[in-house]
Amino acid sequence: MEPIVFQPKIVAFCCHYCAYSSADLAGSMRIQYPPNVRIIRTPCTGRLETEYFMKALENGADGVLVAGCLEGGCHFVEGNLCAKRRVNYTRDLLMEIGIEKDRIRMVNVSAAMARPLADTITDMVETVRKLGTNPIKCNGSPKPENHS
Amino acid sequence: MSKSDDKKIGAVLVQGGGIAGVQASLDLANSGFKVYLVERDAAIGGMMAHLDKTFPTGDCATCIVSPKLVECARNLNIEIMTLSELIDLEGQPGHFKATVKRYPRYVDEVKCTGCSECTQVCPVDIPDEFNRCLGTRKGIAKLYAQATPNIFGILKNGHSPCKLKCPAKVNVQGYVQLIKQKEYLKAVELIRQRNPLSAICGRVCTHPCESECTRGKADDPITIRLLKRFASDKEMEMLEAGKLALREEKTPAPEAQKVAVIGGGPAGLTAANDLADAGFAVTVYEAMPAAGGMLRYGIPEYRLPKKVLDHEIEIIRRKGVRFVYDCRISKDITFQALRNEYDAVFVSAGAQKSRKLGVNGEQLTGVVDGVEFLRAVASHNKPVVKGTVMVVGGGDTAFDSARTALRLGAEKVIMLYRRSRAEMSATPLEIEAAEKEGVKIRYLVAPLRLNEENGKVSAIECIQMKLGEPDASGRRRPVEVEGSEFTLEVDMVISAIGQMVDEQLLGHINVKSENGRFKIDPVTGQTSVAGVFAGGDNVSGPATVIDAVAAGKRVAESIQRYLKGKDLLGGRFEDSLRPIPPAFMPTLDKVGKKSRPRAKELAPASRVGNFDEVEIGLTEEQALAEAERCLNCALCSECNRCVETCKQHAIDHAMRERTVTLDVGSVILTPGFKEFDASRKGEFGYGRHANVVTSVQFERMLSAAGPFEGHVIRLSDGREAKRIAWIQCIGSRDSTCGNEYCSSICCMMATKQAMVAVDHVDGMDATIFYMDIRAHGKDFDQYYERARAKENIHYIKSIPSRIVQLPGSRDLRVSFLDENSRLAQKEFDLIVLSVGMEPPHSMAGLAACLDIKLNQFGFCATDRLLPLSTSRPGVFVGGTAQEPKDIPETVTQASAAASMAMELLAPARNSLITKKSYPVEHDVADEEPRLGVFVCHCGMNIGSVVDVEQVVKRVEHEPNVVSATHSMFTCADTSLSNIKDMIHQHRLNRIVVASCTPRTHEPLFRETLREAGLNPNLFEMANIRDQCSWVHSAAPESATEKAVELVKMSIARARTLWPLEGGTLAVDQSGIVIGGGLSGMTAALALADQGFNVHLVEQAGRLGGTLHDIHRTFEHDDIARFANNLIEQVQKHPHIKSYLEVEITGIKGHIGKFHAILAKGDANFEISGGAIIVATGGQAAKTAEYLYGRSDRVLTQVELEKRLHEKAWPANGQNIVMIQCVGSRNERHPYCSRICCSMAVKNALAIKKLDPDANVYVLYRDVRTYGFREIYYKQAREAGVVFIRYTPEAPPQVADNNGLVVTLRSPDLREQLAIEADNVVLSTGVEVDLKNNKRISDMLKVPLNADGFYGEAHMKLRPVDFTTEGIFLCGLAHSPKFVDENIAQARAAAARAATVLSKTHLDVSAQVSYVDQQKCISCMTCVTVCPYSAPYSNKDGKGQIEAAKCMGCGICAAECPARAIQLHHFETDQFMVMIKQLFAGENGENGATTPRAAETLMEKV
Repeated sequence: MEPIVFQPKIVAFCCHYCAYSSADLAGSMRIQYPPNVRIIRTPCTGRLETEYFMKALENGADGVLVAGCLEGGCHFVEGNLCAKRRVNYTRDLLMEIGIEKDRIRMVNVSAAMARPLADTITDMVETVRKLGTNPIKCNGSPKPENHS
Repeated sequence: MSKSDDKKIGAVLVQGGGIAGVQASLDLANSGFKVYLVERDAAIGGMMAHLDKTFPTGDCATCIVSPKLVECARNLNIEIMTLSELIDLEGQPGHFKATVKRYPRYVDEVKCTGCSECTQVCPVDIPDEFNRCLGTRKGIAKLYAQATPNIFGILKNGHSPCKLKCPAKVNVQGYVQLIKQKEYLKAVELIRQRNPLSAICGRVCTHPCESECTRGKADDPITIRLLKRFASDKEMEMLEAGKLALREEKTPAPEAQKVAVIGGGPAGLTAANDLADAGFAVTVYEAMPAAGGMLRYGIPEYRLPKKVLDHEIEIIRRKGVRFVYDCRISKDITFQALRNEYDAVFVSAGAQKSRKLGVNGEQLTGVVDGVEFLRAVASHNKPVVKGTVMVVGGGDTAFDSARTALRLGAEKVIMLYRRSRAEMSATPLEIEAAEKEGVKIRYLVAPLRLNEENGKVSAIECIQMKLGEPDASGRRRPVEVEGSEFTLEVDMVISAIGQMVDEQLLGHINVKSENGRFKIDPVTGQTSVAGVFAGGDNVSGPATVIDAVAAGKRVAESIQRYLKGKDLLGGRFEDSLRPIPPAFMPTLDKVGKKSRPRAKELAPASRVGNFDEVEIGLTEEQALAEAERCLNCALCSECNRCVETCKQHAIDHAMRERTVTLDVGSVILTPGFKEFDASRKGEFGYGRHANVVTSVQFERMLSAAGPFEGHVIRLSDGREAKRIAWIQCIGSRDSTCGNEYCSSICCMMATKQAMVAVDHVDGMDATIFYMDIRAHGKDFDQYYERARAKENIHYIKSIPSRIVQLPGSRDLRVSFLDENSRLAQKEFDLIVLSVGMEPPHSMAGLAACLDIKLNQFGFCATDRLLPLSTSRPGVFVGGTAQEPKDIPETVTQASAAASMAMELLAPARNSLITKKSYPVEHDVADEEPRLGVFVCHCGMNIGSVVDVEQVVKRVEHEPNVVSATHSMFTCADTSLSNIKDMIHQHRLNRIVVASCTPRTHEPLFRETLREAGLNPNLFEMANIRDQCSWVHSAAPESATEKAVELVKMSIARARTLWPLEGGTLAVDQSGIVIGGGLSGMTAALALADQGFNVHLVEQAGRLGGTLHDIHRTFEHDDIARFANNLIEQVQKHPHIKSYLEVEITGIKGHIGKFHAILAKGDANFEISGGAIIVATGGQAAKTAEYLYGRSDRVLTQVELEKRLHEKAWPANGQNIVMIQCVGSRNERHPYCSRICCSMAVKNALAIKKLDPDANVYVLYRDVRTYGFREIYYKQAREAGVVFIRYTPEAPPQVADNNGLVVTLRSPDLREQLAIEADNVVLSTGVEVDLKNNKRISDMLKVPLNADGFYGEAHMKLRPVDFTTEGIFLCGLAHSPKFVDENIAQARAAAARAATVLSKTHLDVSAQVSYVDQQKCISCMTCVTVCPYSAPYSNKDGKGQIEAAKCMGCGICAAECPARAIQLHHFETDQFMVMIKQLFAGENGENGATTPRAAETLMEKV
């Protein structure tokens, strides 16, 4: 039997002006990346609260990606810096409760940086795949070493 | 002039859709004017769309420009006219008639949905001009990925030389491209559109097309004939294999008009084919027992198998063509009988009779003519051939006879030809083939007589010939060589020296004839008798198959016209053809050499004794490789793949250019610039050395969306470039190419490119070769200093003399003079030439048709004091077409030009604008959500990856979903109507569309909701194309799964949406201008001239500010008069109220309604306005350096200018030393003051004019005389002004020892320099009143930068806006600048303010944040974090948000510690339901989290 590869589910919050645009551009350029990510659009990453990240993980996301404008290039001046702070805070929180901090990551891309965004998604999927299923999940699947 | 004539037209034409045109259009449309935005290219965006990042902020150019372009496209009052240009302008300011030429896009802009399926099937790859030929694009494409409008277009260039050369005008390029795509049947179909004899011509065509093939100029022409044959053979193979069936037999309709065709040769067959296609009843009368004419009875089987001929005749027959065989006109049926029975007759009987040799003995047995010989062979009545056969002639019939004779058993075949090989009409291939088979050819021999033996020919007496003068045919006439007679023994003689039309037929058919052939009209093919047409060999004499086909086509078109009663002459097919202009032909220098393939042939030994086909044709591999070599000369190949693919039927190859006339009140020209053609500076190797690129190419390289996705590579080998050099001033500051001006932007562009490149590439080493670094813009110098401080960016003040490409590595060796003036060399991987700006291609034409003046360099001529006015009143200019400049100045000028148009057309404001009305919104407050879900296939874009029907099935039973459907294109007009119908029919109150991206399509669907009476916020989109099917095409199952989840998430969110109302806000339609200097006065006048009341507030006792310090510019010597005029205008203007000696002590309010408290002495009073313009100005910087204030011989430039102006300067040969950058580019003022270099040049020139004996020394760091000011720098040097460079590390020293002595160590001089100076003049730069600016910025809550200048909303694209809405800035308060720049900026601020003041009410966005007053804990975090000062503390001490100021980012909502703030449309719950839905399957179907999951996190936290 073929070994079942763990397919993590990742929630990506993308800001309307840059990250969401570059995700669209990845489409126009037909750049392929793993289908494990579900993008949720936000006007600005500065809108995102720590709770959203935690709820996503709590509900069963194996990873959370926050994608905003380049630093200094935020459409709303520095909303992305607020988001960066919250993502870092969430990483600390996760460490405190014994969950791998790399389940959440922030990336800054411009609207033209389709390839870097796709690469980040690919990398994130790989990273989370290595980390295994989100341990918070109620019916937690086994860690990846059991799969291979 | 009547009163109605006098009424001005409230519309403006903007020519040029770059950022300037876009900005001008937006300002005009947003202040009540209709705009026609006319753009030459297929999309708007101009140069900015090409750029990667922008300096000095490093913003992504796409990120910042795209929203503006989209805004432009959405604005109801901007009509974007792409592929268009202004070609004529009549009338007067206020009422012009503008003629615009609109070039065809070949795609219907309304029908095209931008789905991109066409581009995926397009076979044509052509150099991508947008990427400056660093990559290729398809024939049908968007200009760039994010192009606005988001529609496709086809590039055509005319028609390819191959097609034009083909007598039948077969679309060669088209079928070659289809073969490239393995679309063989489509290729054959395309060939048959112009030539029904595809397989036949694939074998026997003389292919004149190949001789014209452009590829032939590079290596070998494409072997077009063999490709045609290859595709045709594929068709026959498929038929034989049963993979393809011939089409059903057709019969013409009983009422169809009847056409008779005499002769079933190629001309007759072609005409019959076309006429049957057109629905006529065609009968072909053929004298022989089978059709084909010379194809059957002239061309031997080994060249054209009968099977092939029968195949193509059968295809024609099945179209309903009737054939009557063995029917000879005059003998079996009379021509008159045909005339009586048929509506039209086509005579194509060919030239069947052989010419006689005209020598004695011709009647002997054993002497036959070629035509008869071949006919007999074809009729299976094979003559007996043996011994020696002599063939006389050099054409196809001669060769066919010779080779046939060999096959029939001749021992020896000799051909006699009276001229040389060069004159033979047979093709070289044919001659070669015959020789290979053993035919001997004797050139320059003519027969004299045939001798008899036993009643039969036995020998042929011949004579040797030589070539004389050319005859009528252009070939050299053969002349007999006396005494050279000789005799050859023969068994058979075949004469094949030409054919003619049967005289009997000529006599029988009573139409006019000439030289033994029917006479026709050369265009229509009609004979002297109406309804009787002729073509083919019986008109032309013996000619090629393709000539006959062409004749058949021509006559078929004529007969159709004739029978439909139409004009036979005008608008015929041939008239639609146009050659490609030579300048647009493909360039050959980058074409890699690759020769054409040769078809396999039967070995000569196995040819004898049989009639097997000799040529075997190309292999598939050969054919595909060969098709790949086509250069696509015409760009689009018109293969029609896009036409058949486009489900919207949006493509129309027949579109033609047209002109439209527009009524406009004013014209704004923003055509931009073109980059200098670097190949004009041959020494830098552009176009010759692979790794030399232009700065624009490099920009495309850096762009993540560019051809290399942001990788900096060497073009020669694709390796990452690690050592890159920039060479500045390519085509700028260079009199050798006529461009003496400075292009202003290149220094910064190179600096930025180096900064980005060193970030992109590890171990990158950047070198910039420059003359002066011109970093004169706001914050530019600081950026330059940051770049300079980097270890891996080197600046070398030298322009290299030459570049050598090293053989092998293709590295580039640059020779230059180093700091010590010694010749040095350095090697690089890549060289970037910083190309300068030139006027756009269109500028000269535009100037001529608009009658406007250009300056000496071809830019639009303007006056420094009227920087936006062209020489024609009512026509304004902005951006780089006026003078090279950077983006902020371009945007500024665009707004300023808009202001000029607004001032001119103020009475007509709001007269032509469109306001859409909508039905009353249906109240959904008390209704359960009723969802309609619409899933889009987007043609194949989604449908080919995602199982759309399954998506529908899996979401249709979700709670609240009333209807779930799918459609091919949800955004098509019919689909939108369907959505509206469904809303009404099913009382839907929430709509979910699963298709492409909300970025482009949400406004369209929201509009549909409004039209159906639903609030537009009850709409949600799931992006299952751009972020699903397109990026997961390799994993269709996962993509479908993802699409289902995305749609379910959208459904979950849609349930939580509710209607939002934006509300409106009354506008106080007067303006407040703070500052009464040049900028303040100009802005106030611009607004007042538009009819707005203006409060002009000045703290000094008089208007004018620092304008009083300026006495002259380069071009004007009486600025005082200009200033006084301006002041007088302001003072007299009925709409301006000036307040002098007042101080602003408080400002409250928001956009639309501001209040300012003014204090004058002890009195306080209040003024109000809807917008504020900050123009608080600047001042000459103070200094205490260089003995200033201690020696009266040390003065500032301002003081010098005053003395010069007051004629208080002695003309006695003084030594004057000017020191630059005294108050600038240092620790105290790290910025460049921009104006001082030009000011020094101006004053130095003035001194030299006054006193030519004076010695003026200018000690400088970089001379920053940018733009056209460079000319004066050159003049100054020519006038003898000495410019000496210094570095900040070794500044000049000034000592006063009974006279001033300036000492200096210049990096450009070996010795230390000491100048005894009568006067030292300091260029002290510009600074602001920091205290005052601080005070005002605090009151307005707008930012100041580190140098005390105000901080605009965005450096590049919002140069006169503050982030706070309704407040604008201009003048020296923004940054140091010149008079003309201040005037432009002031007008720009006025235009921006007019977008507010022109409205009685402003719409306030619905997507704003709001505070739950119960929850608010009055911490005022919101007030601190908001970048727009929207939140404030209300009367209860609680936070409240001013909706008018809120930009909808939601930062406050996320930061609020009490969670009292929510952002409409992006509420916390609305995020949460999506997250819950996503994991609903895992956590129970209802989407609720399980208790265990719920407890986990929060407990642990």
